[in-house]
Amino acid sequence: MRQSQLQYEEDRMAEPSSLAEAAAALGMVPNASPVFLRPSTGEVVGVPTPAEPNSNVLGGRP
Amino acid sequence: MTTATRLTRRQIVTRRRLRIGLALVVFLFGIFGIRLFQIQGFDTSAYAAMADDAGTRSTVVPADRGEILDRNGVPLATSMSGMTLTADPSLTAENAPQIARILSETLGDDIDYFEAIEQLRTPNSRFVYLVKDLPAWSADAALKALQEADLNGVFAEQKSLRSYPGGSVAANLLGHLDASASGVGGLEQQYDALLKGTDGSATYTVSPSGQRIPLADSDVTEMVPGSDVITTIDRDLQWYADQRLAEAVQMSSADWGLAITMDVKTCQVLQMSQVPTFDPDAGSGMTPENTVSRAYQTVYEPGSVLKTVTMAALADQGKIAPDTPIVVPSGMNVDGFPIGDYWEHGVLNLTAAGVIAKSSNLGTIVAAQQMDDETMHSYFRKFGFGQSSGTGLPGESQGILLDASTWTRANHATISFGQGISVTAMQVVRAIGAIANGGSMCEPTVVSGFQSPDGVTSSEPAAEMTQVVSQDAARAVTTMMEAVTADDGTAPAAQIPGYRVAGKTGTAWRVDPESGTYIRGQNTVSFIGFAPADAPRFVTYVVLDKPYAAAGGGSTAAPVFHDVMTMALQRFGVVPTGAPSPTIAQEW
Repeated sequence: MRQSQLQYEEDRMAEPSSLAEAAAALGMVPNASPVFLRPSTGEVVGVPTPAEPNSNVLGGRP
Repeated sequence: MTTATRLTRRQIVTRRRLRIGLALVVFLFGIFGIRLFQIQGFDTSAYAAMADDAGTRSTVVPADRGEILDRNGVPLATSMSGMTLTADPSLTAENAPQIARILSETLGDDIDYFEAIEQLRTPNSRFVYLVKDLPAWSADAALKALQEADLNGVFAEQKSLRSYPGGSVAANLLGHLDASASGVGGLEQQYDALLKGTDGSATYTVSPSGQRIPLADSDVTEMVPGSDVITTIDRDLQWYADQRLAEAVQMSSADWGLAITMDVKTCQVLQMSQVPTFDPDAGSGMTPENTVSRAYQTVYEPGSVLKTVTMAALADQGKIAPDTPIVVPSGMNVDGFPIGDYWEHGVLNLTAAGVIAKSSNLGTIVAAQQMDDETMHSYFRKFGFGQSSGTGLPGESQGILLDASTWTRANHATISFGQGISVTAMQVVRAIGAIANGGSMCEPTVVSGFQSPDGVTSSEPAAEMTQVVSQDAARAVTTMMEAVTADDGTAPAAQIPGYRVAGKTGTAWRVDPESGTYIRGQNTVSFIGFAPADAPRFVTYVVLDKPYAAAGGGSTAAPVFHDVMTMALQRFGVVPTGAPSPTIAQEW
């Protein structure tokens, strides 16, 4: 019983909109231009671009 | 004659009375005897069963419904044990306020204090429902609190509850359950029998007051839980696309929007978003407009995105290449219908890539005149239009592709740029997915496998591939579509730094469902694209229906494509190829 209650609460806390809210509260923003690092050569693949502030898509249930 | 031998009149009467009395007594005992014989001799089993019944109670042990999982095993739909609280007002009426207070203290908003008092005092009743569908732990806490306070008359019935941890995430793909716990729409309906499992039952001995007697005989038939359905959905990408699409629908004042992302190599659908949608977890927004699954149930005219299919058909016949020169007239009159482009122009000298990049209706008609009705129709059929997309989801529409024999000149002209043909979004994703995948087409799939309760996993067979156009033709159309996302194309907003992106915008006239005619100023705008264009992995399609009048696919749908595609490439670790985007001449 206790386990299923905790599972229920954990499922909801781990859900993307809860995480997004928590991340936004910490001032995090999504990275719109991902780049990749090739470990073998140390080469950066892609165009590194700083993420812009206030570019979050905020969660919340409709 | 002596008086001693003669009976007095009185004695005679007494004796007669005694005889009648005796006969009555014998008759009465006779009836008792017969009845006793009937009960003990004939009806024994029925009475024994009734006696048993009075002392036992049976309950259904509901089977756990299987889960619906995302591609990483995260539950999108899950089940938990729940309870429904009932009461016997003949036992609760006296202490109604105390019981209601304890219930509202332990259950919070799930119960209304005053309503509960009313229920607990229902006159001439021995059964009422207090609260339905509570999570088992909260119902259990309430029952314990009542027990501690020594208050009797509240009982619990077991129930399996459906829970959707993500709320509205992927709701239109998942579907929901009706009051009898059967699946309605989406995967809940398609795999209902598999998910359901088999209910069990439990019979146990109770005291006359209804209390279960511990350690007494009980008879339990174990329930068999349902199987899990493993989808191809990526929950986090799905959620992100939901949010981006919701923003775009709001900003463009659209009636509805949808976004689908599919892996072009496997035809696995990674994300299928819809706005507005519903929340099966809270049971909110359950209107037909919200619960319909637009990706495969709603048909609409797609407009210019289908120019790519016309070009693919021509390229497959060797009749067009990205640099093929086309003389685009300033206007056209087909069967009395004036047809123009969305911008005013004189006669233009555009390449085929230019026609796609600028989305010229007239240029597409000119190019399409190189093939007859039957040929063009057969290519549209090959690309899957007018046929279900193969997801097998319930209530799928097939769209409308008129038979070639009924085509007029106007049909030939308008179908070449995606008007006069009705499609579902899933059909468009399948067709453009084929162009991305070197001309090889497969049927979109949303389920990758199943997991039985004993942990055995079975996989759905890999999608079958059909070559619909040659690899060269697919490559030629890809080059044309790369011109769309160039700085001088219709959708530079779809560019993703570091990657090559191919795409096509669409702005289609909306059909009035009642009159069947086009409505001036109302459009369905869209953008479909794939990346990386030089090694295609994903196709993403974004549709916005009836946005503000000036909205175009390049300005409203392409930015959503950009964000969702970027997130998909990032999440799946698709590295840019590093090849520069080609410069493609649009004029000659």
